[in-house]
Amino acid sequence: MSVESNGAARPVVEIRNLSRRFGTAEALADVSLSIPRGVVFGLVGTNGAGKTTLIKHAMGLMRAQAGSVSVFGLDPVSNPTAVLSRVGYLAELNELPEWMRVEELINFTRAFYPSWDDRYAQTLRQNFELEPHKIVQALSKGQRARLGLLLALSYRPELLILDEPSSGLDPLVRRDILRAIIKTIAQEGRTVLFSSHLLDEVERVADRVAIINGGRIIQNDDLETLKSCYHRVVFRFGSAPPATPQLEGYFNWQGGDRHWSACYRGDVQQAGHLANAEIVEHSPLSLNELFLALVGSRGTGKGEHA
Amino acid sequence: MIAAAFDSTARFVWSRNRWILLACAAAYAAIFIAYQIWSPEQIHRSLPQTTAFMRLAPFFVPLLALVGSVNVATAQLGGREGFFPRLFYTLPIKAHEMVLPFITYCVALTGAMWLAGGIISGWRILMLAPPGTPHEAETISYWLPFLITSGLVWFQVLAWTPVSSGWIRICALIAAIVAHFFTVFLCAVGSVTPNQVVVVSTLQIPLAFLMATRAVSRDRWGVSHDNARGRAVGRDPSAPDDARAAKRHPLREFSGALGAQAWFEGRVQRWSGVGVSALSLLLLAILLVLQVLDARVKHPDLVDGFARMTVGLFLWSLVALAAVNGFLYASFRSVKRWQYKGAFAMPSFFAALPMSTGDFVWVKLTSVMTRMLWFTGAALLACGWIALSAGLIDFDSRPLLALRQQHGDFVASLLLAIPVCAFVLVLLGSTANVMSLSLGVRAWNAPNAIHFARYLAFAFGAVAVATYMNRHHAPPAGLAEVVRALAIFKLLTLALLVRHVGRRGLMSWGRLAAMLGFWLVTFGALLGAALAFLPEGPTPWPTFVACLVLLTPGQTAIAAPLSLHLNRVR
Repeated sequence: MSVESNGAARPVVEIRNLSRRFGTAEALADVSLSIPRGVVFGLVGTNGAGKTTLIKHAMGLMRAQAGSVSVFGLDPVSNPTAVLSRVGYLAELNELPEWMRVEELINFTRAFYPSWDDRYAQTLRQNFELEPHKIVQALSKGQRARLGLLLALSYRPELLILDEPSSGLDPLVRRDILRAIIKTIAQEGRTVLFSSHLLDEVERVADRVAIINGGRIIQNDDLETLKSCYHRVVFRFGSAPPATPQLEGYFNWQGGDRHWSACYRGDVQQAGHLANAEIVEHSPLSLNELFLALVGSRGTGKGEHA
Repeated sequence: MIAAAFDSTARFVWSRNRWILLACAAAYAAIFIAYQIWSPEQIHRSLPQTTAFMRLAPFFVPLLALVGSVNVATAQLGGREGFFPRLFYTLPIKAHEMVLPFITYCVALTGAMWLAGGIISGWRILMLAPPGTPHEAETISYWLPFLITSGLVWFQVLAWTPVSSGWIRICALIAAIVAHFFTVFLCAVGSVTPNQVVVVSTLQIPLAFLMATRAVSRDRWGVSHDNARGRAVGRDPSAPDDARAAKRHPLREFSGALGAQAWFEGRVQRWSGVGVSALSLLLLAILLVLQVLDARVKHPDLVDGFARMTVGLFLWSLVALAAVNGFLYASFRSVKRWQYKGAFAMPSFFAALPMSTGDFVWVKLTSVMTRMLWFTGAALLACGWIALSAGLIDFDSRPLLALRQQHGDFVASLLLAIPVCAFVLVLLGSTANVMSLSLGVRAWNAPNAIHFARYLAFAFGAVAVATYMNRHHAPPAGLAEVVRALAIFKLLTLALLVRHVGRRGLMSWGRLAAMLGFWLVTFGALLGAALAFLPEGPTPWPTFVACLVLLTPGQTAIAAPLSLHLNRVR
């Protein structure tokens, strides 16, 4: 998992001030994002947070109402062929042609990509235990996900976009998907953008994480930076405070009686202190805790950035 | 419990088919109002389609309601499963309680439509004699609604019955159609009486109910599926089919993306519209049998009438095929849940393929038009054979003789080919137009709104002019100028559309030129046919040419890349 150190290199995906509304609902609000080459970028958020909408914009399947999207320096809406030939995509609704046989679908998709690697496709098919004569309609959900992944990987795309790839799948398929991501990363210069609810998976493979909530990016940083930056601090009060404690820099207060905990961004040693409380314990947050703290403390998330 | 079953079935059928039923009710209401304003005789003379509609609707509307109510996700006639809506299988009711409401509603809907049509038209819809028959000689074919209802309930049974092979269902459907047509034939030649037809047809309803109950019960508990699986013990149930499919369809080597997409279109739509032509083919087969049996000697009028009906049906089938193929080719799915809003939305798998929108449209257009060309060629050949063998074309008739004497046999036959070519080209252009409309998905995007407004304005304008001419026996003042202005406007918008699509890079200039060329050739063929065969009338030529410009289809097809672009990129 390597993050390209050359900051001058053009990002693979660059999104600036992207906004999108569906009727009165605001799906994306002033989203800006940059994904450098060679990075595994995890996009996490609740259902309806705007992950799929954001990914569809990156794929050129949605037109930006405001702002701009560029992939490999090109507008994916006006240059679909140039962009899509370099992108591998596994959609949330993996809508494969159901009447085709597995080998027919592979053969059909192969015709669209000059860089298609037959040997690699064959290896993946065997690894994924996909029977070539089986009709797509007869495949299980997991097998379909594997087939979708095979089709997205076999031409060795420069950018792999996976929209909720492991949602509703069993651990074995999830393992295959994670392995595929890791293998893709191992190939120099490849970039992965994937969205997921499953934060432990994101934590395992992502270099960089963006948390999206209510159509806004509320956190976007390197995973290690994020984890080292946020802490959970446990306080013990001399006497039970009459209401939820308040202290600048702390959020997501939880607890009761004399014991309360809160999240803090930054160096705990330099944080302010409560007069009648002592810090009993502080520890870095896992991505799961961080997500719950950030999203849980914001409700719909339409507020200030942390 | 049975009342609850009736209630839930009514809600289900209504929710799936309300637009068809409402449209049909609106059409009946419009005909009723028209009959009140003008006399039924007048309407029948000037718009015989209204009577034809009321004759066909009691068959097609319940059939569409049946198709709309079946288990659409697996609704392929070639499939093994029964198509009874699965939703009902989880309800705490017995199989007969599931089946009874569906059959009752089918019978009631058919009966109500015949009754409504009969009352509105003064029972003209049951008079099947050709126009011009003396009124006293016309008989009311009261047996027809019973026979058609029998056919519909048997269709229901066959659709719901799970089978071990899809061909069994298709053969059974063909057998049911043949049996009903044979009954019509027997009734027409007097071998059976109308009363016998009524009795036998009525008896079919309880018989079909019993068969349907058994089929639904077996399908509900998976009995038939187990039998099908039993033949492949220890193997995947789909494996034998898969192996056979692999043998039947060896992998193709594609020259490129366009070739692959063309193969996809051909495979995914291979059965589209075949059902529409089935009836014509059946009539053709019956006609062949009559020819072989030399039935013309004994019943010349019957065979001639049958031949005319077959030719007519072939031509109407082509129009229906243009509509069906154009409609379905816009879809990327093999199972057309066409009554759902998202039926024509481009699936993400295709939207993410590195192929331009223009390429997708081009492949769809060429595929559908090639298919229609095959259908049209075959139908015209069949019509030609029927017309020649049944003596429907009199080569020694005065107009043909004059043509042959004036130009010689060869040039005369070339001239006769012009209207045929014009018909084929208009049919192909209309197919492309229908496909373009469906590509736009059921959404209020700009191309759809413009097309809808354009067609609506044209339809209202045509009705207004027809009404005026019916009353005053002369065109309204200024109509010629309006038609010419509209034609110029159409040509301008055509040029602007081509420029817009080309400049946005949605389709190459070469392909746009080809589409424009097709439009010009169609227009030329229409003009050529008019010049060769239409007598000089009171309409001045510029106005006539303007009319042809307006009637030549193709503008909607040129907007197809825009429609698909809005479908692909939301």
